[in-house]
Amino acid sequence: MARKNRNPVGKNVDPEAQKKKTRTLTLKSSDGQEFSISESAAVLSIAIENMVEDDCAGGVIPLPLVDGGTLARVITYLNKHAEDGASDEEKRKFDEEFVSGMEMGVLFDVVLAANYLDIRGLLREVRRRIADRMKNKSVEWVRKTFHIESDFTPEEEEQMKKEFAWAWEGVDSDVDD
Amino acid sequence: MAAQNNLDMISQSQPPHKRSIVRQLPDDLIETIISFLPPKEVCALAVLSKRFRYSWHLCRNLCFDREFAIKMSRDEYKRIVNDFFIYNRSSRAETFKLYFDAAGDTSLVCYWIHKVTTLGVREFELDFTQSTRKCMLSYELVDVKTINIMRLVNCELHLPLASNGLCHLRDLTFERVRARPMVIRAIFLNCMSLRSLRLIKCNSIFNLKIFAQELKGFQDLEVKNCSDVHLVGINAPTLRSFHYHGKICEFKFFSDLPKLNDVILEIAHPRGFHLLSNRQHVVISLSFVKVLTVTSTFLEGLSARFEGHEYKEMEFCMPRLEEFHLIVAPESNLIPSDIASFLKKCPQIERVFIDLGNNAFGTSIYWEFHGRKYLSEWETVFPHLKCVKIKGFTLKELPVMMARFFLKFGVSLHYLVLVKPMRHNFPGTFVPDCLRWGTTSNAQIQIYDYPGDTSTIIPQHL
Repeated sequence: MARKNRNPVGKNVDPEAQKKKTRTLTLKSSDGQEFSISESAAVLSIAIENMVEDDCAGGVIPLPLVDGGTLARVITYLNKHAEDGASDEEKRKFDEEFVSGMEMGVLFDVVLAANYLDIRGLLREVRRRIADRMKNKSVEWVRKTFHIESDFTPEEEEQMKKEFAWAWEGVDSDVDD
Repeated sequence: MAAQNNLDMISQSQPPHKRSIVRQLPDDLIETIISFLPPKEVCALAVLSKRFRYSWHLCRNLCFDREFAIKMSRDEYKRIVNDFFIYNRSSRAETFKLYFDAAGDTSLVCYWIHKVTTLGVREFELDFTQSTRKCMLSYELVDVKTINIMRLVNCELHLPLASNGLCHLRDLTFERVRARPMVIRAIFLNCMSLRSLRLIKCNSIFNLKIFAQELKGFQDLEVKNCSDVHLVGINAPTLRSFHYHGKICEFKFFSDLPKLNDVILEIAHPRGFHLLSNRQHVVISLSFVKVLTVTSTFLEGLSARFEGHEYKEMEFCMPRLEEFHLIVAPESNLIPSDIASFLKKCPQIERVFIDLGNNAFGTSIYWEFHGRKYLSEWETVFPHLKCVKIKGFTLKELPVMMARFFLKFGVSLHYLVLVKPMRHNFPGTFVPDCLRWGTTSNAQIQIYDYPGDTSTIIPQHL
């Protein structure tokens, strides 16, 4: 909610909002690709908003942690969410479709970008989607996918499984597709 | 900084869509992803590594539903749910679902509810199926703007008439709730974002008034097996789907329903003689429907009446209807000519599904005096009809006439699917093609046993 107050997109009466709609910014990806985007869409990212406010933008905003392909995706999202007249319903549908076809690797790229750029809605959507894909997967699968190394001894691990025995009931371990 | 350089190198050296090794996410981010998993899975992942030992304290998917409660004693369930609340360090909750007998623990349940509402819960479900008495839910407890989806089972909610609370509620389901007229009225005065309302096995409804003309996006209404509904009155210009399952009652439409394209009127066969009242009004209000499922009770209400010296048909038209699904009650007097007479009013009809009850399509005086003649003099063709499926098909006169009727007048019919009744066999001499005699149909005729129906031609409403 706080974001909305700081950033009154869509309120036509506000001259500042009008200016933001017409003003464009240029975002530069890690691999040197440049994208132009309206300020009103760009500032849905809290990180970019801060950069604009601190006036360290100077025309081009470098985003050294986001590659061009990912940035293009993120900009699609931002544009949709800054669009005038897009209903909540439409945005929800868009979000659903936006993440639905993405491979795990792409989801990881987008979640990193959303985290870095601080885009709350996108971050939530993508994290939820990754969690959906984790359902019914074994611990080993999760460790492998997220590059996690266990530092528990086998005894400790057994102990933990006992502690959460209810959570392990009916779980077939290591059955993944 | 080293990590950043590393990331840069990965993204520059390999095109993003072809990378086989996915990036390493920071632990904090992994932890927040895990927090979207339901309780059981979050706890099972505590063994990932010491870093994630207590990640379940961040769980925001607090889904303690029926499936979660399976094989758990009440005490164990209560202890585990409570642990989640005691140790919770999350700043947000997405989902809260409870399947519990609240008797004796109401203050604990109130504490849980209070806690999730402060965490900005979006999906909220209280299932008190196990409680012997209906649980009262104070409105103040759930008066939060974050809730989008709410399902209440076997409890009661007292909404004040105008509070502007629950103004972001989109989907509301009441199951076994006393949905008195005041409650329904309060819903439509408060929940301005409501899209869908489901009333399942609710009581004390009597006159159900869906006055949603002030709501911008109200789309779906379902009323299922509510015992004491006498009247459903609808004023909802944005309504898209209306599903009614239950006993016969009066329907009144106070507004045009230009978007209403999906309707189920599954009206149970009434005891004694009882017809749908103001039938003309009902069919006119449904004139924009594209997919319609009805029971024989509804169609009987529309069938020809004996007036003066002859049978007179009702005048109406369903210009957009594409799919018609008819469920015939075993006690029904419906005959093939009633179906034909209805379909005549649906020029765009593409798919027809007919489920015949056990004794349906019996011969009667009505058939002898009216039906047989009516069908034999038939001339109208159905140019758009693509498939017809008749379930419970036997080789008696009426079902065979019905099938041959579709083969003859469905001039571009692709499929005729016939499903036999349970434990029913056709004589060995029966050849499906004999149904085609006297027609020029090229339709494929498929015949299935009742349990072995593997046809891909299935109705949208199951």
